[in-house]
Amino acid sequence: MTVPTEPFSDLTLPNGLRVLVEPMPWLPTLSLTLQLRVGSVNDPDDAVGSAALLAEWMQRGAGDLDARAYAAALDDLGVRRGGGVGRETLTFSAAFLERDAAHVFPLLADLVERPRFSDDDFAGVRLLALHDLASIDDAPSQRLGEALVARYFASRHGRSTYGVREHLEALTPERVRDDAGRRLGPAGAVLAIAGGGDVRRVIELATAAFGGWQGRVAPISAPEVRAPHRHHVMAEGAQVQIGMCDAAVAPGADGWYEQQIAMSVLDGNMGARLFNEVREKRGLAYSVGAGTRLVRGHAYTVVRAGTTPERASETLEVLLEQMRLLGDGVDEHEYARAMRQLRSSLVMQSEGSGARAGRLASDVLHLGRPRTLDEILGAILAVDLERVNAFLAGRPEPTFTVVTLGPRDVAAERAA
Amino acid sequence: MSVLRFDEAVLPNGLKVVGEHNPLASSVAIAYLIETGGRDEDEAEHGVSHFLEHLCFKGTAKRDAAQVSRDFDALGARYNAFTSDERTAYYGAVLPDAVPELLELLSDMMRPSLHAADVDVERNVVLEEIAMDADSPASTAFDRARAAFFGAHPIGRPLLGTTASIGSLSSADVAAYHERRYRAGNMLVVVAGAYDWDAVLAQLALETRDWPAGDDPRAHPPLALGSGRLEERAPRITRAHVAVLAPGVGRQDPRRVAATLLARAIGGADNSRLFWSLIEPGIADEASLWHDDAEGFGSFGAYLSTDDASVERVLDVAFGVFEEAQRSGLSPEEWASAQRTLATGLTLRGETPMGRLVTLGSAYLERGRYESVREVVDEVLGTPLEAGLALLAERPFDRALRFVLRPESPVSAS
Repeated sequence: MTVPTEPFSDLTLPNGLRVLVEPMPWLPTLSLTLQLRVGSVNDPDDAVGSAALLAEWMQRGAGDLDARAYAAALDDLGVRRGGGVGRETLTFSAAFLERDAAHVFPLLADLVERPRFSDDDFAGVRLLALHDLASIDDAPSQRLGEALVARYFASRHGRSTYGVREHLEALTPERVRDDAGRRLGPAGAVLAIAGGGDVRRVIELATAAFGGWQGRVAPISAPEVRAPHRHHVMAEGAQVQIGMCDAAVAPGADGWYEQQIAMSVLDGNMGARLFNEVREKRGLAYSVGAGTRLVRGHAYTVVRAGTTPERASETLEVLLEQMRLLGDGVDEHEYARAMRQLRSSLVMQSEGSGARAGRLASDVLHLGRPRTLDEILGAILAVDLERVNAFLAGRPEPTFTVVTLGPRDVAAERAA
Repeated sequence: MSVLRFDEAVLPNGLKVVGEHNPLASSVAIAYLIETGGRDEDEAEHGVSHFLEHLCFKGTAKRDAAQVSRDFDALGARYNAFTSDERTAYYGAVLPDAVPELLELLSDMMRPSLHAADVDVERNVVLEEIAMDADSPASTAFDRARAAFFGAHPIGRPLLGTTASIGSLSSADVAAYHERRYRAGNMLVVVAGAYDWDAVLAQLALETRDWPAGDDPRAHPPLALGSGRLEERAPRITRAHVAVLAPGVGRQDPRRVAATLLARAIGGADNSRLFWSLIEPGIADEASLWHDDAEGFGSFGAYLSTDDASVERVLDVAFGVFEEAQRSGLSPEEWASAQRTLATGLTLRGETPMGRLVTLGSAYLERGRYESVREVVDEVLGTPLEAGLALLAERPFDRALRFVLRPESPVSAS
């Protein structure tokens, strides 16, 4: 049994906006993801956090509507929205009933085409960004995540999406408006839509709403990483947070699907190696995990755990050991479990419209083109155990940048 | 145009089974919902519901812990479990060809072996979870607020237990709780998606034939709600975290939808009174209000986060918002907005069998009947503003409990 799939539509409007529509005709809902190539990575060097301000300010009114009227208009149509700013994308997502599409599309287009950027709203937007930045101090896991990425990347990809306090404080409405004029354009942006309704009508509505969008875009430099190293952030707390990063095979490159299978053996589920070795066998940590993260043109492995200080050193040992052992290959049982896991989770993820729209947008960012579920499943199923193990044997020894955060410098204790 | 079919049965041992069949679904999701949680624990058992949830993954007469995990993975299942004050749930989703295996596995897990050695290993995991929670000031603030608001009622205790209570639970204690609460009559199996009903029922009858029948009625100790303001200075935090609790309505109360809607209108995410008064001007970075319904009673909860210097202002503004709503009510536009966004959210969640499971099962347990997504949405859209105004007229926020957790000393900018 497979998920009903129909080929999607893929077109680029004259202004450079790429529009993708994947039909799911059995649903009453439509989900939409609008992805702009705007993020902390192309924030001006003296204005890190400007994208965060932009993302918030854009939602404070658009077109003829002020902030409250705009929010009320979306709510009247029952539009659920989400999104936010990342390192290299600014995303707005929305989900609504397909029958309301003709009213929803123009409102969403106003976000990027006619944001109000009212001076009156700016102070609140900036204060909120400063609050958000400060609140990381009370969230150790998030704080470690920020520190890890900052240590791993040499390029602007290491910047915090929350920005830099001094920069946020110095930003003015004029500066941020200028910044919007510099990079809020349609070229390279993606509008991905999945759900019910007639595809041709959805494309017509999207074209009518977003076809007039104009504006410049800012380049994004290629990611660069630093040499592997260790770093500790002293912080009070009941736990030590451990994070490790190493380069991985990028999407579309040889070995991408082999790597996905290997990562699934490591952290596909509760029977996977990390969970088993760290939590089940040794009871070292409640949360432990590994995954592949992407920025455009680069993929990296991230391994994380949070544990109490007495167990931190052993936890780090076990994590490093497990990453090394992966080079010895996986056995046929692990392979079979990972394959089944990947297959069923791909199918199940594709049952919801929001997840499908998100995947289309992500595919365009990282591969330059969207994939159907059948294509992904076919590519994964074509990788046999020999291919996985040949890939793992051919990988260089892992060389992790390790960052810890907590009351004790675990990495130093371990080295001593 | 609905292709959905509702299925319902009760097995001889009292186990209830319900399903929503959807021939268009690509997967099948299955859950065991047990009517037990933190509120059903004796003082000496504090934390046992959640501890037992972990231990059900640690092995049975047929499987050890590693085998439980391997079997889930071999099915390609997405699965998890959760414990609340009211209920414990174990659930998973698979492609339709793996339904018999998933049903067998989940059923087997309901009879865990609870070996002392497994209990000791898992104790560490739960203690780590408690430590992780201790590093979350919002959790700490709500733990304190609940203790003060619900007083001696067991629902006022932290669900995870404490380092001391988890430290002293033996495998015999856990087994006694399991024996008492995991009886067939206290459980519901929910299936959703493209399943074969006759096959599911026949298999369940076989898997559960030796289970003890009957149930263990929930005790309802008296509830005396606390109110007022409490404050604590805590080391290691840099922001102020405010937890607010106020009396709401219970889960069988017909006003529960109105309570949810008024909480959204006052403190929902994007377009609510708290948002415009606190988030939009940048006074607080979190300001939200919601309603929780429990069996027999409910509560409104609000969370406010800000810097230490702004605590008084944030509390004044938030309680000003509550007072204004109690005094002057809500507008029809605010009510309609809350209705429509809630309706879209419910529709979206209904897109997948996994998303349907808990709402389908909860409705059946709480109101004893099937509620399709369509009916739930219609109920939301049909709830009149007057129902919300009637709740506000009872002035629940006058009886609110405020707990303020703030830094020990003013923190310098870093």
